[in-house]
Amino acid sequence: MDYTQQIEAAKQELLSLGFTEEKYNKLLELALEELVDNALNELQEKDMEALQNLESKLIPDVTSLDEANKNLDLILSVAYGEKAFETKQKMLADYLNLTIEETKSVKDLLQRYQAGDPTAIAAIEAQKDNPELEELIKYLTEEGVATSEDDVASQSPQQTSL
Amino acid sequence: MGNNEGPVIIDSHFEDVTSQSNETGGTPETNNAGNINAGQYEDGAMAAALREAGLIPPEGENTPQHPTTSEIPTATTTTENQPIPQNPTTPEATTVAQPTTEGTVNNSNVNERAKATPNKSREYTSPAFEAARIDAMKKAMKASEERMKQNSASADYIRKAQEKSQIMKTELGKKTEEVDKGIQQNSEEIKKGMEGLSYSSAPNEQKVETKKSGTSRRGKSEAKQPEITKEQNTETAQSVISKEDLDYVLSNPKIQELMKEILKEKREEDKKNQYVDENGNLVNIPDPIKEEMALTFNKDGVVMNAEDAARYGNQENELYDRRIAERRKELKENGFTDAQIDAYMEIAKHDIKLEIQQYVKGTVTRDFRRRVIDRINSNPEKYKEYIDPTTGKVISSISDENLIGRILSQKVYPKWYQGELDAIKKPEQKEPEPTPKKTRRWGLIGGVLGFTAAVAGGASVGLPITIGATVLTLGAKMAETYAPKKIDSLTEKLANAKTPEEKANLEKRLKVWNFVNKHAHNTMKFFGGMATGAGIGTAISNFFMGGKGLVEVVGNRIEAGQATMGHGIGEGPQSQVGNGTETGATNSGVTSEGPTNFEPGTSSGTETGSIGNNTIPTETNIGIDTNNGILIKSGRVNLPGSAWNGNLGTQPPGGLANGALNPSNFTGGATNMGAFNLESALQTNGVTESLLRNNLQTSEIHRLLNIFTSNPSTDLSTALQSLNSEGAKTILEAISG
Repeated sequence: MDYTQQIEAAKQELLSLGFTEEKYNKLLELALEELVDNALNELQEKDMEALQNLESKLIPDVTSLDEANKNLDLILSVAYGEKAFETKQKMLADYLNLTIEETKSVKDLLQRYQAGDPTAIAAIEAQKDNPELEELIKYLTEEGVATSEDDVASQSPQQTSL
Repeated sequence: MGNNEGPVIIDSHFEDVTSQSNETGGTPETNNAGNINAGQYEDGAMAAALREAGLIPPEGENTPQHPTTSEIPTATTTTENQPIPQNPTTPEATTVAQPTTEGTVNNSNVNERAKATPNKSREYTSPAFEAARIDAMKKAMKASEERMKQNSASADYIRKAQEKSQIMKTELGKKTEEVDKGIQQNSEEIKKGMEGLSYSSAPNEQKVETKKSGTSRRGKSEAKQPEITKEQNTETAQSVISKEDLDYVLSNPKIQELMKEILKEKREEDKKNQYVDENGNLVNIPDPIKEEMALTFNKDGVVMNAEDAARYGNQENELYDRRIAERRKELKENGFTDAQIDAYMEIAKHDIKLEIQQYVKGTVTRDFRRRVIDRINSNPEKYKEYIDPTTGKVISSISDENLIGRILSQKVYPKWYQGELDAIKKPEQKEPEPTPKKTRRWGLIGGVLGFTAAVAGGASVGLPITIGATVLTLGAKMAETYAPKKIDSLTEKLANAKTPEEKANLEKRLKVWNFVNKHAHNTMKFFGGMATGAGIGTAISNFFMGGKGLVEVVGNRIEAGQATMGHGIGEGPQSQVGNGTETGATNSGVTSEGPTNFEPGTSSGTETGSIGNNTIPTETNIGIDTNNGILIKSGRVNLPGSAWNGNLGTQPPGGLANGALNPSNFTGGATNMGAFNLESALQTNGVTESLLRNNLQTSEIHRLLNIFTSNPSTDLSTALQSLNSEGAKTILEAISG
């Protein structure tokens, strides 16, 4: 299965997991950001000539999607050379598959937690005080996905089920 | 105590009473044996008593001492800087001076006093004389005691003396500082000469030479003399400062620190009248340019002549407005809405302003050059050094527009840009720290599962924590895949650069990289700002697929019989969708019910796709003629006079989730979808081209296209009703009848 097929398959699977078109598009945006950031990292290893060549070709004032695409393709082609197209597709496929894996895992844990699985409960309980999650909670609250009271401790795992 | 014990402090310690009156004060003192020591009565009482007794007093004792305040022996007045008298006249003086710290004494009169002190070897052998002397001593003692009583403030006197001495000491310190300062100022000039600073003038260098050649140590010794005034010292330092003096001055850390500050101030001041030439050297701005600058621009770089300022301002505004209009037109032609363009222009206008200022700058530079040339020509005598004697014209180095441009670029124009640069910077500074991409991805997952949970059980219990627990336990492999592994690579290399060449090279690379980085992110912002909603998905999808929509790519494969839909090739039922085949496509979690006919010219009817827990009705109208349709001709919208004209209106390949309701299924994305769905609705409802075009204006059809783009599942009647026009009613009646 080539990357195009992988991407399409991943998209369908994400839709089946509950992603809407809108959320899938947002995921694409994130994937693109990751792609560009990684390409910029790669560019730091390139020599002066390559960078100057890129600098001279970039369109400074982008006014159309065509120009935007050209800019990004230029950056990728300097960063990854001949493998630019393959790299961006691979990266997108990987990114989508990563999201699928995460979504499935979260869904599975949530189901087991709500079914009263002691392992799942322990796993979640262990993360309750994880400061890294504060940012996520804040973000989800802002996005309207969760409420500030939406805390694992507020509800007994056995009372609800998916 | 012997009689050599005058009022000399040798151990910073006072005996019982040591004070003396300014007049005739003096106090008797007894030795360890209780004998009265006549040598201690120096206040004239002894002499008076002897005189009264008809005896001739010992030599010198008839002269009462009148000690000044400074002569009062106190602990605090002992100074180390007093030189030892070079030729003590009596052995006693030497004896007294020896124990004093660093060979100094606290009173310059000590030798004189030592002289006046009766020599203990002198003896008065006559009993009458001796008796009279004792008597006189007793009287003197009594008189002294009387005076002592009267002078009950002797302790106060000492304290006052100490205070006065302290004040003197402070004044002495101040004077010393003044002298040091004088030396510093002179030394600064010397140091400049030594450093060979480029802006040192020839006369200064000569001074330096003079100073360097000085061999006298007067400078140093004078520096220690508090009596020397600053002016005197300056004069002295300028005339003769030896190498040793210089070393002494320059090695003083306090002086070095002050010199640095003064040097810095001087450089800053000089910079105002200097510019950096093409080789990076600081060069003095030629006088005529400097003078004309002072007349033309104020300290903020603003043109002071109101007429000129208005002319430049008008030029700037006119160009700015024109450029803004051009940019808006370009964007409009590319299909962006007014709202999108407004949002974009909020940022772009500052760039345009900077761009326009380049033009205005050129005008100002040319005008200024002309004024400088006029200035020189108007006063050839004053500016003769700027006139070529052979041609009689202003020398090319001055009339060179590049030179004037360079100077103004450094001294004036940056102040113009500051406002725009600040305006551009401010929004960036105000922007809150973006939510990490990882968190945003988790947020999407949370949104998906939250919805699922709500459907299933009405709860999204501990969702963030569950997400966290999961992704954190998935291990680092995923997180690290997209971690910014080398984001500071160049910066780090630069910090560790070992040679100037390496550093310069890395700085250049970093500069270029920053440019690329900035434009990469600007391009990303363009995606985010200009292609909103479904459009961005299509745009990004196209980017990942090499300029073609995902559906188009997959569709091509379907036609070629290569596409494999589903998760896991060769596993279980899956759809191999070929041309003209009629199959149900089953993906993991995606079930298509009913037949799907992909053959052109037929309608597949209604397809219902069940995606996970979401049930979304999808209606795909395959078979709509987009070659010679009502609104679409040859696959493109035919609506002259509208931005829609020429947009793609092709049909989706079919067989994909959400069919014609999914913009990602269309090559041209959301607008393609809107155009196709309107065409489909027109054909399905039997609207003819003449009915449409005769009853609706271009702008109304334009609006219909917009409606079908923003709401692909709308029906034609609803869309027509929203137009609320006579023509729309006519069409409504036609299709309902």
